[in-house]
Amino acid sequence: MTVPTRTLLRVFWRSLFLQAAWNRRGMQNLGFAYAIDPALAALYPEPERRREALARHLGFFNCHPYTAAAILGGTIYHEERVARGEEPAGNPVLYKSTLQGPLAAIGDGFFWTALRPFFGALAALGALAVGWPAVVITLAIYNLVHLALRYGLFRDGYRKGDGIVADVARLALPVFADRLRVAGAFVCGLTAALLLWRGALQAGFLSGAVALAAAAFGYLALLGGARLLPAAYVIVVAGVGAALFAARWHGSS
Amino acid sequence: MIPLVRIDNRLLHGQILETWAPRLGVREVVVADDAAASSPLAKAAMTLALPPDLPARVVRVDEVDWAGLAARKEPVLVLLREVASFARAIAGGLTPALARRVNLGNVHYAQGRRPVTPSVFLSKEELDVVVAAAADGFEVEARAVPSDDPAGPAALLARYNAAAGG
Repeated sequence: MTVPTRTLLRVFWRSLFLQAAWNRRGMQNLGFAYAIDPALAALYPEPERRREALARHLGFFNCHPYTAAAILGGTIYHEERVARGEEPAGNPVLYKSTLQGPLAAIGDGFFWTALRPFFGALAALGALAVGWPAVVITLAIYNLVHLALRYGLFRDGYRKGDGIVADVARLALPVFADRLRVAGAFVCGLTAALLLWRGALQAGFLSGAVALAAAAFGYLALLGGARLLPAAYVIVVAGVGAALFAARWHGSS
Repeated sequence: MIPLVRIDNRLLHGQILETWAPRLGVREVVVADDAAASSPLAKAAMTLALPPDLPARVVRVDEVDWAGLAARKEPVLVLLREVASFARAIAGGLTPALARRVNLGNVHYAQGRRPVTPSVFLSKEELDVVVAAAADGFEVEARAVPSDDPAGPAALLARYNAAAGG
């Protein structure tokens, strides 16, 4: 008993909506059950068994939305074996609960705190250098990378089950994350320099001072250990706010 | 030293590696969980999530040498999966003198548990363990990440009583 390729593609498509029904009790449980349902329908033609299978995927689940694709693929790998009677019915759920934490950590570390900030910085630099098309292109590249990785993880999880862990280890995402963070910081530095230079040319000393202060604020926040998203948003909002305020103040004086 | 004992159903994940570990300056993570210690898949998965400079050990709850970890110079973060594991750790030699701060990070909903913070659901028995530990000198608080407001035992008790049974 195997899941047809068409159905696998449908499951992958549905996995893009993993967080659409996020809730406090089960977090991504409804999204996961919705995504895997076509595969379960293919594996369990009898309504009773399908209902039973769907019910076990309504338990708590929470992971990084991208790396969760690996778990979804691997869970189908185990469900196929359950359907063939080669594994106990508890295996898919055990697989999910074992991998959700570690894969969430990898996803947070690589996508949220490295890849996305890097492309965000690149978009900011591009917007300053060549204008808005740079932002569209950066978004397109980011999503190409993210969807390719996401689909690769899903396919690999489906093919290898537990073997996905060794494959993810070979990807060495934490190492790339470190490099991307350094590269992102470098691009941010370039952007700041460009802002300073342009601002000083157009609006004089004050805008330069504001940009410097915003950069110093960001650096201090980093020193304070702020690595999670809210801090990054606060810094961006503070920087934009300061720049707008300075522009207004400058314009009215 | 043990700057924090964290209770988290998901054990090692992003909130811990991205916020608590850097905030506490942690040099090693000890995951104390019987199920994870007996699962090669769990061990392999946890090591792949770690940054290169942060080692982790996965051991059974009874194997944790609390006094030994507390005597270390570098900060060691200890992770437990359930409040019940915390109770077992206390029975096995954990005292407030060895590790004063205990954090309830993520305890998922289950039958009989009521919400006390956005990420923590507790049963009456679990709440009793928490309150008793606080009375014995542990500083117990519930929050997912350091930037959240911590909820102490009194707040947890009040919220448990205010919440509808589940």
